[in-house]
Amino acid sequence: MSQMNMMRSPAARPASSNSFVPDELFGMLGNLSRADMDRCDFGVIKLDDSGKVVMVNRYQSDLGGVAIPNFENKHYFTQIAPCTNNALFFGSFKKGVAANNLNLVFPYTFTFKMKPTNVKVHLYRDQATKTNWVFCARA
Amino acid sequence: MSTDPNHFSPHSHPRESGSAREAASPRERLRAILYEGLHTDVGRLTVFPGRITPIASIWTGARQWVNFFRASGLTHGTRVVLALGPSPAFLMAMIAAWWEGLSLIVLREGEPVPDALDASVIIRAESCGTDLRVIAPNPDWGPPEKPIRPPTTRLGPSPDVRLMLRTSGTSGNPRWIALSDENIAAVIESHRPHLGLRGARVLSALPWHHAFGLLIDLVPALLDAETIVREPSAGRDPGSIIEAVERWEITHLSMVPLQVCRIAALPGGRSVLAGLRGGVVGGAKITQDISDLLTGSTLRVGYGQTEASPGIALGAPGVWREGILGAACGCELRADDAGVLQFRGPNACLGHWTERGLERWADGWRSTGDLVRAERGQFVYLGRADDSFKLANGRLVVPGPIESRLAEIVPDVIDAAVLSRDGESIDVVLVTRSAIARPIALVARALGPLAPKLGEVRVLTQHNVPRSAKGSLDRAQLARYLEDPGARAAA
Repeated sequence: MSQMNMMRSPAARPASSNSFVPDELFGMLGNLSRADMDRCDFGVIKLDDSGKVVMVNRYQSDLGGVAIPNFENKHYFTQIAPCTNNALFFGSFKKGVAANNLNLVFPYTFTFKMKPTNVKVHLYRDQATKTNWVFCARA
Repeated sequence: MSTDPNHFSPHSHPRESGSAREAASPRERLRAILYEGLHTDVGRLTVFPGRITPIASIWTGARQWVNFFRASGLTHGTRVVLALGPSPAFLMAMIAAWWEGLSLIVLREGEPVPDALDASVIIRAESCGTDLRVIAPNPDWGPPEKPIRPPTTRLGPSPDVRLMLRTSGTSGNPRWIALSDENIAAVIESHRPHLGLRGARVLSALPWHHAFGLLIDLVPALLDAETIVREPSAGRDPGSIIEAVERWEITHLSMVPLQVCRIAALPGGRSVLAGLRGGVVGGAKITQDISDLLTGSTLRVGYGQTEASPGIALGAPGVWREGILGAACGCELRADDAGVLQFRGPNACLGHWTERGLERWADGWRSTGDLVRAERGQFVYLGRADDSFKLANGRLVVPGPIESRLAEIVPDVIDAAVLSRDGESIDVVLVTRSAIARPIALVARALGPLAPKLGEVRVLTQHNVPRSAKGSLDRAQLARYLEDPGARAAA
């Protein structure tokens, strides 16, 4: 499934229209500290280009019940959240990284602590700093 | 975050039994099918309008529903009505109910629950303060937080019934058909290998409260497909179907004939049909037009009835002709002496439900009520046996073969109905692609020795024909049209 098609779907729109992430945060991504991340009332995960977790905030760690040391340096799509290892989620990430253009918001259902939980996901690549982000808020 | 699609209980899942086919009892087989199809492949997805949910989360949610059912004291054979629209909650509750051996009754969303069902629990989108049996999913599609104490039912549990569905009522007498674990497992096991859904992207555009949409389309897709997308208009809007096929790069789509016609009539519709990699078309007669549209495609005919849970026959991909039903699938088929199709096998339902409870049907050959002829290993539909009527002189008229003959010999005719309003004469309605003069001589030829009884002959173009939701001719309305020629048939 192409990223383009996902962008056109009603379930996934360009971020500007319905993201829950405050605009000012996007300007800080180049030097966002752990303390900055922990002040967010939604999940923030920084990924390298392969999908490995560089940094995760306290909110996301608590939401999923996975301690930060067990979260970081693991591959997000295969080791932390294998239910995202599909064409729509991981596929969009890979294509976005390759194209240096990733900005998708879509509704998703994670399983946190053995319970399906409806969330909104924003996949984002900061083109200036070439950093990748997964933002996650309860729907 | 944990995304492991946990099995429900180390003591209740049938993994020790090996594969589904090796599992001992029908209940274990059905559980094994669900377990093997749903607990792995964590990247697979369901897509509903406004919500993308991995199959892994469906499975975990089903576990929550299992825990809720157990905490509420629901045991084997407790009757649970599922009256939700297509949603993750529908899937979770359905899987959990089958896992627990409850008797699941699927209704259209919001539909009133008949007293005769004597249900213990009713799952609706919203709970109801006055009916303690009614519960609603929580916002994350899981069960309510607190267990309920359902009232005692008049009839007690129905442990052999795993699923109840209403027949579509084409015979004018809809019934609640009761299916067992064995029935459900048999139709899944017999159809799944033919459907080629591994890695498929399936568009679900059929209703889930009907046997075709639930057991031939949805459940096999749930077990095998990479992505299942629920069509936003529930299959009613062909434009929406085309848009969904293109947007989600759909590979498989099952439909009733009327949906095929409506899709084909729109710009780009024919190329959408031609681009599919698979799907089943069934639920109503395959007309010559449908056959022409689908010949050479990868779509195949499917035939069955709710009473056969609901698969009896499947055709080969791309092989079409008017009236085709396909070859036996998962059961035995034969035509009786009168040419009526019969079936027997593990997918023949237990019986039907009445206000007195389950009324079991005898084992053995069962009639479908459909007149057929065998042709090169496949069966071809000729008409309904119960459309037959007797003239005042005692002569039996069987419309099916005459209607097939009319479609064969009268140019431009795509469908026909043979009726009698007065019991004295035979009336014929021809459905044509375009307006034509009444072909009286050809109609008389098709009637053969009955030609002297020919009464009215009417020609209707295909856009003015009253049809059921599945695409069958509405004979009652056609008869009314013959009574009042000034009225539009489709009014």
